[in-house]
Amino acid sequence: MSEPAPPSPEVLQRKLERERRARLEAETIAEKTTLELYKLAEARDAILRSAGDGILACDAAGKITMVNPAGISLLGRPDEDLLSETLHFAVHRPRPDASECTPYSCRLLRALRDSKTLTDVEETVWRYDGRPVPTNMTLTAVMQSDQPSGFVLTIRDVSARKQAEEARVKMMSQLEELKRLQELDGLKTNFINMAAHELRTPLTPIRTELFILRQSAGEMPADQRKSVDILARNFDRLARLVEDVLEGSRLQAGRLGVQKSAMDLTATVTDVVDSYKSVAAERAITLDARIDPSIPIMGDAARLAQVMVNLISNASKFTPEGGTIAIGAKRSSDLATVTVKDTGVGLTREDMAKLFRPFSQVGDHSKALVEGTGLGLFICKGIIELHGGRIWVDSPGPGKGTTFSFAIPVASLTAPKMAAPEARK
Amino acid sequence: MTTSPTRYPQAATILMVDDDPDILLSIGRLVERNIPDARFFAAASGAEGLKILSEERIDVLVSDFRMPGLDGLQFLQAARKTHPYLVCVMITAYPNPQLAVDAVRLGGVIFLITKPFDPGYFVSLLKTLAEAHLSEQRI
Repeated sequence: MSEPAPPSPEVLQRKLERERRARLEAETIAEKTTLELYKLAEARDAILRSAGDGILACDAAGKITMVNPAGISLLGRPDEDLLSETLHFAVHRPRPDASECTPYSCRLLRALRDSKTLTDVEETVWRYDGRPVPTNMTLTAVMQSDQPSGFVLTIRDVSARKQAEEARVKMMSQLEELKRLQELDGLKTNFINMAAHELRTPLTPIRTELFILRQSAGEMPADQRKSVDILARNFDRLARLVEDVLEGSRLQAGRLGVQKSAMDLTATVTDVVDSYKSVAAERAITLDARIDPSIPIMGDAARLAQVMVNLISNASKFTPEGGTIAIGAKRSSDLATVTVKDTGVGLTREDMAKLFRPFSQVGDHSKALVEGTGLGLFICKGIIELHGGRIWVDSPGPGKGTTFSFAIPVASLTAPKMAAPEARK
Repeated sequence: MTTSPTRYPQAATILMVDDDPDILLSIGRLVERNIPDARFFAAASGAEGLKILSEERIDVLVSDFRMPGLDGLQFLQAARKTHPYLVCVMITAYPNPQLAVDAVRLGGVIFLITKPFDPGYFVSLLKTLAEAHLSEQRI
């Protein structure tokens, strides 16, 4: 057999050319692939850098291999420090309350050992600076050929959510408390209302018997007459207290009604002042009334008379013999203002602040008011406010007299204007 | 049931219905002293009141509202079935606008009085109502 002939130089040349081209092509592909890998790595780093959650990667043994900026920021430790740490010790710092998370009790370590995924682990992480951060963690195994090659831990700072939850829980508890207090207040109002109503029944025979006793007072010895007078006076106080409690309870429940109609405030104020003339004369108190001739308002005459009786009665209790009670009623363009000014015991600033509250009691110098129901001015305030007005008190101080004033809108005597066509639209 | 002047004496008759014995006692004493000619009947319940109404001529009927058994309105409604022209007064410790409307519409009440009422006013009201009723009967 003869040996095969060696390839011709042309054939060799072609083979070499093919090999050179193949090498060039491989080099181009390798360069392209390297570039793409570099781009992918850059993109991955950018994603990790911009991720809001802390991301920590560790190898199969739990040693940290990568941590993103959010993780560094959340744990409060420099990355070079973290990269030499295991996952357990990186996350579980010693706690100020000494409630240590030991490697034996660490859920992360257990999951690493069992190659399991942990999701929605709510845990407070103690930062390097000792500050607690409530977090939500997820640990995922990175599987390669059915074996974990490492793990990824994502840590989310849930402080804002926790705060919102705490705020919501606190608000709910406050609402519950408010509801409970409202229920208690309702029960209290119902109880007071019921008790006051029930008191009216036994008051009826007491009043009747006092009436009968007084009819035969002429036949009684003087000391018995005195007893009847004391009984009658205290019956009046008790009856007034019951009615004031009922009025106050209606006012608090928003059921105190006023029946408004066109009326002249001058007539109401004058009537009440006239009814006090004899009482004032008995105690040598001067009643100085300066009342405008006509003050038309829309109001409830009986209720406003009730206010005037209360104010003049209070003034008369406070004012010593020989004093003066000045009653003024005047009309301005849109307001009717009534004042009751006495030369009595006066009030401190603290007394004035609580005078219109229910059951308020003022200092010892105002004994007369303490003897009242403590509801009169509260009811007056309610009545004036139901008329769209306001009531207030002024006093230069104890011993210097007091002025009560109220102002309510003056009635418009013209017919209500028709709405403009545009307004009607 | 109507009354005739020839059949009955011309003394006013008042029936008071209230479950509070002291109110009945006191109002009885008040009427006795201030309207001596009147005959006063007291009933502690609506049922007792209906019984007295069936036995006696009554000019003025005064009833409490809140009572065990028949309440004031139920009692007055039952009373007016047999005595449609009764003069009725209701007394109550629990006045309210709805009660006033019901008392007038259903019970024929012409006066609704809140406890504790003024005894002087109450006496003059009873006198006026009894006299007016007796005058009507005379006519």
